[in-house]
Amino acid sequence: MRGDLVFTLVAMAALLAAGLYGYFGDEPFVLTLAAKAAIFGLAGAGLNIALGYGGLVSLGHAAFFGIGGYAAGILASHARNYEPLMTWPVELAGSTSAPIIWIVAMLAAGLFSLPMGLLSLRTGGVYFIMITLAFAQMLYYFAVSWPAYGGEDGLSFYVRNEFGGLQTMNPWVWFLVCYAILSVMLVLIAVLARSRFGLALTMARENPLRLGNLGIGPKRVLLTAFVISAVVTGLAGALYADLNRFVSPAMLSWHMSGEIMIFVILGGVGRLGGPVAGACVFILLEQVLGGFTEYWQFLLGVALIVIVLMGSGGLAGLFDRLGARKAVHNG
Amino acid sequence: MVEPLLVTSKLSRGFGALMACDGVDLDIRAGEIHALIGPNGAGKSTFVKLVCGEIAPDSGSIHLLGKPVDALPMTARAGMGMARSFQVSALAPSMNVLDHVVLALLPHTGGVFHFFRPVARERDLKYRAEKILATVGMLDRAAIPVSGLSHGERRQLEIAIALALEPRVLLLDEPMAGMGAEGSARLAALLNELRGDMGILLIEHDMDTVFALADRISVMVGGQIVASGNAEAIRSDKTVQTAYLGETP
Repeated sequence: MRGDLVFTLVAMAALLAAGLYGYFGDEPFVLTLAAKAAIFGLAGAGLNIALGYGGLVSLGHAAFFGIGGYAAGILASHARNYEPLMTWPVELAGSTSAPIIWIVAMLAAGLFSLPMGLLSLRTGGVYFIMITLAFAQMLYYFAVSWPAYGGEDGLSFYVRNEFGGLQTMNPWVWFLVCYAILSVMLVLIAVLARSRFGLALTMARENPLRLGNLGIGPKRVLLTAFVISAVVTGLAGALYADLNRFVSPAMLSWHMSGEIMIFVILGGVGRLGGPVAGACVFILLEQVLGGFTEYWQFLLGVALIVIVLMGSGGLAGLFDRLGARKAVHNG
Repeated sequence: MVEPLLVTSKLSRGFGALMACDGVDLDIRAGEIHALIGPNGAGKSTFVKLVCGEIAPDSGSIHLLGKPVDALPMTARAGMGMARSFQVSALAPSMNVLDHVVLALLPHTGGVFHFFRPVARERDLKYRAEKILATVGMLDRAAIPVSGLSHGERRQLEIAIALALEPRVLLLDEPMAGMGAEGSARLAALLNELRGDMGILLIEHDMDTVFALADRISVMVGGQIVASGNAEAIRSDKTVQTAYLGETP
């Protein structure tokens, strides 16, 4: 538990350092990358609730990421064109207020995850992976073929949405917003893991039969975790759309699901700071390796295989072992 | 006569051609230890799984506290006061001993759908869990994760979890299997103390323990109850001697 906290603080400190470097070194591109890492880390932290704490291997989290993104894009585009979202039964206008967009994104992702989780949880193992994947792909093809919001070309908007009186178009400010949201969410997830629900979720992962025997339905516990997980990833999607001022079906595709899963596995499954570390290293590799060759994803694959083979726990596991070795050395 | 806590009538379940449970009539009364004995493969564990709802019977019915529970899932039966220890320990390897007992206390103390308050800060829960661990003699192991426990200790923890549920009916599937002599003796003493509060179904291979503890004994062979009665009656029963106790004079 203490190792988990230290690792999380180290990962968050590294991310903050990248942001500070971007700000004081006057490198807006680095700031944008740092904001992207914070957002990807948040998306991974969402998946980690299902995958790490609940043992639910979901390959459909791009659905929630994309829903969050489209919620931001759709609301903003309506507000900017002064077209109401709908006129019947009540007139609903779009919005460029970020807090409203975030709440709508989380609600939409949560609502979609409910039937998705309900159906997927009837299965387990590889079938669970396939059904979650199918749900996300369904949404992907829907977005591609729905012309109202750009279809295949996606939907772009020119200005980031508004948050208080902040200059959200300023990369430094936007990085801080993303970083603050990530911090708050990580604290909430840490609290969740230590709550009654967190205890039940651990048992639902490790021994669902026993949980049922205690009079606690494991499906209800897992479904709740799945919905919470979707809500967090949905919020990340809304931030990502705002970061790029663009949302496209790519956010819904299975590549995205795979990337979110890579953040979690690379960083450490079931570790609070794991997805943040994973997202940081992913983006770092993308930049560094991408400079050498356009086939950088091949090298990323090699790096991923090495990290997974080096033992379970990803970067967090590596960090633990280094700490343990040092302790032995000093003792 | 007081109505038994648990009654099964004509309970049957087959697996292909094999009748693992074949028309079993059995009851457990308040305050008694009812031992179910029989050779390996007699269907004892299948019977326990049927009673607690892990698997569904082909025919027959189960009444718990006077109410039919055939249509109720495992969780609902557990909620009515039926607890079970698993033959093979069913625990979470990464979770510590105390947390297992705390988790078992949650359904009766407000449920698990609380997301913000740290469960470790709920002093009342911790106090009760520690008391139960002291009862089974595991208080000094409270902070150890289950992966670090010996086989015997896991069995003890199974009992502690079952007790935390404050059951009316306790189903113990070979609770002493793999325990040392000392552990078995302590568990036997514990069961003897618990007897007054609940009805216990005890599946056990060690005949000395069974004859010492049980108020009633039922003998199961090939999915059927071939004899039922107190220790004296079972010892002298001809069918039991040939079918099961054959090796002991």
